[in-house]
Amino acid sequence: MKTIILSVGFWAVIISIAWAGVVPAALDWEPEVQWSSLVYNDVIQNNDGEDEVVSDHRIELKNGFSLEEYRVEGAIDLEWRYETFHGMENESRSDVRLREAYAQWNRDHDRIAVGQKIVTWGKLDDLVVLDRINPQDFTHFVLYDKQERKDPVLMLEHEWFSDQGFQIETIFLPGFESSDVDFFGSNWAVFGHLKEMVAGGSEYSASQKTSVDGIAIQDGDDVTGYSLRNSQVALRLRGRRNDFDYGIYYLNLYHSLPVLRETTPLGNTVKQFLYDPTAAHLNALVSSGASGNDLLLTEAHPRVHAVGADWETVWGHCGLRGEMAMFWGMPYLARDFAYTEKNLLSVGIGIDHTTDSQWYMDLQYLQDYVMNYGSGLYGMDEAPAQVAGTISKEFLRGIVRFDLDGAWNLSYGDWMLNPELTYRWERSGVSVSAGAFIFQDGPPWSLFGRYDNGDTIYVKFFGKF
Amino acid sequence: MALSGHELARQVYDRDDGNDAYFQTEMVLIDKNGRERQRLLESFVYDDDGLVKSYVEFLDPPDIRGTRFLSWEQPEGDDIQYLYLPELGRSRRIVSSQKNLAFVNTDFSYEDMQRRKPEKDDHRILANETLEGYPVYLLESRAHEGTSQYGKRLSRIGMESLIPLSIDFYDRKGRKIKSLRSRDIRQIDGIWTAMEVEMVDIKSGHRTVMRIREVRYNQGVDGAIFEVRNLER
Repeated sequence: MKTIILSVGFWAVIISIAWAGVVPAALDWEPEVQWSSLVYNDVIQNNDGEDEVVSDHRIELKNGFSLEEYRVEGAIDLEWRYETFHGMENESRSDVRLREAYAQWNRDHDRIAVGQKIVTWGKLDDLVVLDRINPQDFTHFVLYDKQERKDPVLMLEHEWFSDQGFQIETIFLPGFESSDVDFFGSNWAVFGHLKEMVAGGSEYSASQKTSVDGIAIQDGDDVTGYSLRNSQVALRLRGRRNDFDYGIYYLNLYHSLPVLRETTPLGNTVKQFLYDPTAAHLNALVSSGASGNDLLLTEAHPRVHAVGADWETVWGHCGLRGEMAMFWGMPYLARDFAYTEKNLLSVGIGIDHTTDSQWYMDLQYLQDYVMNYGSGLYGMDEAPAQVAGTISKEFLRGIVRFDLDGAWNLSYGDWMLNPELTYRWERSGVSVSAGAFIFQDGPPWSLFGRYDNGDTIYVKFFGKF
Repeated sequence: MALSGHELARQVYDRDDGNDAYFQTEMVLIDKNGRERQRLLESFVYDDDGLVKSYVEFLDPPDIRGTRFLSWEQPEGDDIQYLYLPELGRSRRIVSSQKNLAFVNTDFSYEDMQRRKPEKDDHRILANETLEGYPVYLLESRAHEGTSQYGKRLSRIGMESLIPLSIDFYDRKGRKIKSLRSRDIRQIDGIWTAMEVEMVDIKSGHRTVMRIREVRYNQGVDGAIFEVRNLER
């Protein structure tokens, strides 16, 4: 923690100096301020633990810089977040984060970057096959889109450009950072307010409350320190042949989304209750006698190898793109909730089109196939499929914009819709959006079914100067 | 021997516009009530042995700053175009064949922003006139079926500069739908340049004015600017 504060303090001084204009004349700074205020309201209160209204404010001080003489450029971005929660209890939290902070040296045939970066690999817009370099912040589930959810990570990146039009990119990550997931205590936590509900519910017995109160989830494997053992590497070759843009990938990364590993076999009874919190499963947990380490679960982040490819082209009046990858060692839960690893083939395709009346439509389809499915997995079919899409249109020459985002898990039936209307004051760089997230159907463990009672309306203010 | 319509159109298409060029352009969108919205963009154009490449980056307003556009004008077939949106974090291929779509909410369509090959139209010189003191050819260009959103264009081509000083655009039913005016014609580095171009949408009364703030020709340009890697830098 001390290191983080020192690091943030160091960069804050650098940025302050830059903003005060005390920088070498050769250094060209491009400061920019971006802020957003998202206020959202859970439409129906389902339990006392829920936060009814939450406000999430973010101010990012972006500092692009370049030293043209040395062909060096980069960024130092600092973000302040302030969040308030209003429900049974009112509370707030605040933190300062160093976002992208890197320097990049451009040469004729290659480019080298060092520092904290966000990179975007793959071609699909919303669905993820290959875009796995950066961890994501899922503490607000899908209230922020994929690019906004990405957290920068420390990396050494090298890109080599050939005269024949292809390029080879190599990314070396000296350590691992997990995606940010809350398991308990927020509207978007994986297990929601389950612990508060049991603790405060008069229908639960003392032994049931004791068991649930004892459930704990600890950080995972010791892979977060910077070392050669913990390092990750990713390679991409990109090029264009005829009318096709293509990429070929090799990834050797840790799985950034945690999957819960049991400490003892009784831990599987704990997971059974967490993922499907019925009275019967709670009774099974209590009658199993699970206590102490039985109730301790661990976030597992196994190392995953993958080879994959992506492509993009145009076909008539449509853009077409796709991704596919074969993963070795993806983490899952078996039917008895025991932690297990399987190999996965993932294939995605996307198509987009703009109509003559300027309606934009984007549709993506993802098909997974678990190669060694065996006796089955919990919450994962052998060949699940999902679709995601966007429809949008600008009115009054971009002053008003309508967006409708959606996603549907075909295998489980759960779906999400996100309509949004935005008004822009272009001159001042400010916009205001109003919208809703509607989560429906599917079993309670499914991605959107989990939030079946979490329909949310929101207002978002956004500014950039 | 009198100049034919096609020869004139060919001269306009082939007129010297530099091997490479840099523009910083102010774009003003004006609605029928006179309310203005301004944008600032910079663009590079490079003739790479007949393959014309162009790069556009929006500098202002802040919410579209960093949006970049790359186009390779193919000698045959559709152009190859990429768009980089900062919120997407990557460049993506975009369809270039829908040239009737508006260019970033302006009154210019993608077709209006590109050079049109003379072979795609039947050309006829209707008259020799003067426009605001400039001697001009009045050129009628009727589009071949399926090659344009317009049925015909009536252009007034400056006899000295070979720049279209005005163009009236007609739909397939013969209705005038848009009108373009070029103003402040100057020779920059020996190349005739319209420093201001205005497009008016006749029906809505909306106008878009593009004013060149800075222009440089034949300064030599780094070919890497026109690569996808520059969009995603």
